[in-house]
Amino acid sequence: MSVLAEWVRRLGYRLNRRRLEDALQQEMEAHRELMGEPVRFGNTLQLRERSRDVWGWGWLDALGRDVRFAARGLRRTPLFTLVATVSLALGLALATSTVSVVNAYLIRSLPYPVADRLYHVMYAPPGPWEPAGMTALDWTSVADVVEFPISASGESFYVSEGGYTQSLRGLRVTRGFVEGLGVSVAAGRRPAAHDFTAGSEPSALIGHALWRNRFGSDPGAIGRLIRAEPESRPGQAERLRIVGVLEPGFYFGRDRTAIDMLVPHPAPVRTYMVRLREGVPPAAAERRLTEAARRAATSPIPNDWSGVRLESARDRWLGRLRPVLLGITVAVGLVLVIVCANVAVLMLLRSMQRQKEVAVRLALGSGWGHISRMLLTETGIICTIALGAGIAMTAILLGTLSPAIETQLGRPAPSAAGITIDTTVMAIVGAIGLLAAIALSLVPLTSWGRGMTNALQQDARVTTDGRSMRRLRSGLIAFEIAGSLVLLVGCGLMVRSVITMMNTDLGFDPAGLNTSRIMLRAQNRPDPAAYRSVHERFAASVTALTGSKVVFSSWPPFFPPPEHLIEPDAGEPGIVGGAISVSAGYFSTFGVPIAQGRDFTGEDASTEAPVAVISETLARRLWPAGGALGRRVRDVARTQGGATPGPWRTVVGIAGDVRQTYDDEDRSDFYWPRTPDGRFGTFYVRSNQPGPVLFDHFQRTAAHIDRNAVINPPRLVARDDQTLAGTRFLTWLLAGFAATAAFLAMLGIYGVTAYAAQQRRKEMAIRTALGASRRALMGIFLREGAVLLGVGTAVGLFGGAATSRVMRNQVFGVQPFDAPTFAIACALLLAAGFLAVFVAARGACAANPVGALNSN
Amino acid sequence: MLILRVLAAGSLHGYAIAQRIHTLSREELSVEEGSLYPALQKLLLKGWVKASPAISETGRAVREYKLTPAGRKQLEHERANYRRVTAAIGAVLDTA
Repeated sequence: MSVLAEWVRRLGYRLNRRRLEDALQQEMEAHRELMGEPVRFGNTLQLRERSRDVWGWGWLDALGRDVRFAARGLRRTPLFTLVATVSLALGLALATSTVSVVNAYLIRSLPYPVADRLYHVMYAPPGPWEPAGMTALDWTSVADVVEFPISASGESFYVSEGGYTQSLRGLRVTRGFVEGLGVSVAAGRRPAAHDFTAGSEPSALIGHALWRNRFGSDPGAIGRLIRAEPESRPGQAERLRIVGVLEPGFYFGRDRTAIDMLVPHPAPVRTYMVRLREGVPPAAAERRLTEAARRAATSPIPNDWSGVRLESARDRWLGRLRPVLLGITVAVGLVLVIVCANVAVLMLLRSMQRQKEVAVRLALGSGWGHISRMLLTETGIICTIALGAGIAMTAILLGTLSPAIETQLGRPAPSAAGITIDTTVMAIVGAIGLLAAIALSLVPLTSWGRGMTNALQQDARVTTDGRSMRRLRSGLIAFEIAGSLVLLVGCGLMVRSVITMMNTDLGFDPAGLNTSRIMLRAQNRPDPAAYRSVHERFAASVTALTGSKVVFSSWPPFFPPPEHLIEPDAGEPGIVGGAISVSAGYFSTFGVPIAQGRDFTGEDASTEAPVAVISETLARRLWPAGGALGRRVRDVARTQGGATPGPWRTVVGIAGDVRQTYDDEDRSDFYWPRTPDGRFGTFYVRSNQPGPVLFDHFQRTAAHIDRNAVINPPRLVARDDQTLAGTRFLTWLLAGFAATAAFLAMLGIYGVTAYAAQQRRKEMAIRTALGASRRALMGIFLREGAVLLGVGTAVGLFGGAATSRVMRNQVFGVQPFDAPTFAIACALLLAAGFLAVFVAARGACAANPVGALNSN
Repeated sequence: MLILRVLAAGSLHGYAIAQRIHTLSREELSVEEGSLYPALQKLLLKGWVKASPAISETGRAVREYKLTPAGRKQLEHERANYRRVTAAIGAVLDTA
């Protein structure tokens, strides 16, 4: 308490310092006047000083003095200060944004209390089916490894109270879900044990957004009954007692879509996620779960069953993102180090100019401690400004770009907050800035160490800087060149990948192809034919409206299709190929050429004689001799019960090969005609109209046919091309990094050459006077530049080779050690480097020798 | 402690405090009078004395220092401490 009061008083002293000092001086003078012999009073100035010391904050004054002094020093070299600050700010902005992204994806992780112990359970990886009876798996028998089995099944609810119908995203969950994920509530209570016992009053938690939008955040909503009709059981509305409100942004599953309703579910459901007990290794849990699954299985388990596998929830969320993020982090780290190296070179050059000043200081008795404090303050100011600017830039950028970054990465950040600058980011970036400041302030010290006294006598001699100095400088520049080359190689590989991808003939034309989905309510439709007729009428109407044919397909492009065994009539062994059902006109709408025969027509789906279209590769593999048209073929779906063969179909067309993915090497595809006859239909239409306009068309058309039909907003098929998007994104990033790094390296080599040229003006003048040609003088600088560039490039090539090995999985259609890429990167860097040397040296060699010799 | 003791009698300004210490100590203690001021700053900071503006005999603006309750407590504390220590020293000196 008294300590606090003392601090407050100290603060008061600090704020009223001038007034207090005046008062003290007045007092002392009055005292001296009253005294008989003022000598006995003592040294007034010293006493005042001591009084001030009592007030404290001396260090603040000292710091203020240091800062003022350092700022003056920096103002004397405005160009250096500007370049250093701006390049550091850019580097730190890059670092901040990368750290923010890495923090959002890798550090913050999933927004559940013990996310690192959450695992997905795969009963049959990667096989097509899992053993039957897993619903009855006895979780108590593995309770020593599994803390909570987490199960949930999705359910859409329709709520019609209050004038309008709303479709809600619901989850039926078990107790393990609530406990294992640590579901917490913003209001009300968490579901308790009794909510999960059969026969108790049905209860529900509602999502925060639903609470806000539908109930106006009314606390009175808790305890109320809500009437919700589940999608799976139309007409059987459930009356659920609202017991609590979920935390804002609570989600579960593949994306961050918020959950509207969480309904406790008493019956056992199949569990696909577990929370392991603390310290249990996943491998041990896998063994125990495999045993438990064997006991629970009600169907014979195939011999090649691999057993239960666990995959960390975090890894599944991140997917292929981790190497991409790590790659970006390494690249940014490299750029930042290059930035620092460049500023270090600038500081070295500046420190050479300040040698005299520092020598004078040392001669006047200021210690190395003082000098280092001065340097630290200077770099501290630069780094602080740069850090502030960098963070501000990032904050502005992230404000607008973070959704775009999430799209480009193909996955939203797992945390509900998205990509933001939080305290973790601030701490990390602050530490980076501090480290940079300390490292940079050490650089000039290395150059001032020995022989400082010589600096004062140097007038007599031509000044050259020490050998170790030059070596350090050259080392930094060579390092910059090497780093730039590594980034250039990385960037080059990505550019080549993108070009290869864009030139890859996918077999269909994604440009302008839109996809959407129509969903019909499960009401009043007696049979599949009724559904089919709705879909057909919808497709026909939209076709008439947009002028381009609407087609349905069972499988979207850019994803590997389900594999069936395709058997030819002749009784020969079948071939594994993709099997997709499509509606009439599919090939013309998708832009897939028909090599022989015809596209599907409207009658094909319903005729008594089933037909099929196969891809060219499949035709060639099934009938190498040709003549596939008119032959009979069927697909055999491999399921748990064995194999379910489809009907024998006549091949009516042979379509061009389609790559479903960029690395789709097996283009054996089998198509059969079908218009959806269920509640859902995914359709495609080629149109250049903007999405909202199309959406409006679709909704109006659907409303005409079925008032309850729900349409998803259309999106471009090309959006699903995540491989290309991701590669392109990485390419842009790396291109930016490489350009920055190369520019800085060039700036560095230019600066060093220009400095050397200035230092050696006298030498050059003497050489000129003795008859050396300009060309010969240029040669001296170019040779020195060549050594730097050569060493840098050689080191960079090794780095580049290592990089391309690391990037193996990110590149497409390019050899890891791609000679052209390396050659072009080297050539670019060397050309730019020599240009920089040339421009810098030209000035020195052109100077009038008489002037140079007379100066000083 | 001396300053606190002097102020216990009533509020005084700097010169007066120095004079009182001088006379009370029977002119034995006469240090540099100026060192009074850093000491006063410390007491102010600790909250043991309070200052209020006043006018000196020569018509200059000075500050009068007054003991606060906390200062009074501190004085008692230090007095007790001092007595204990001197008593202990005395005991040692007498027996030795």
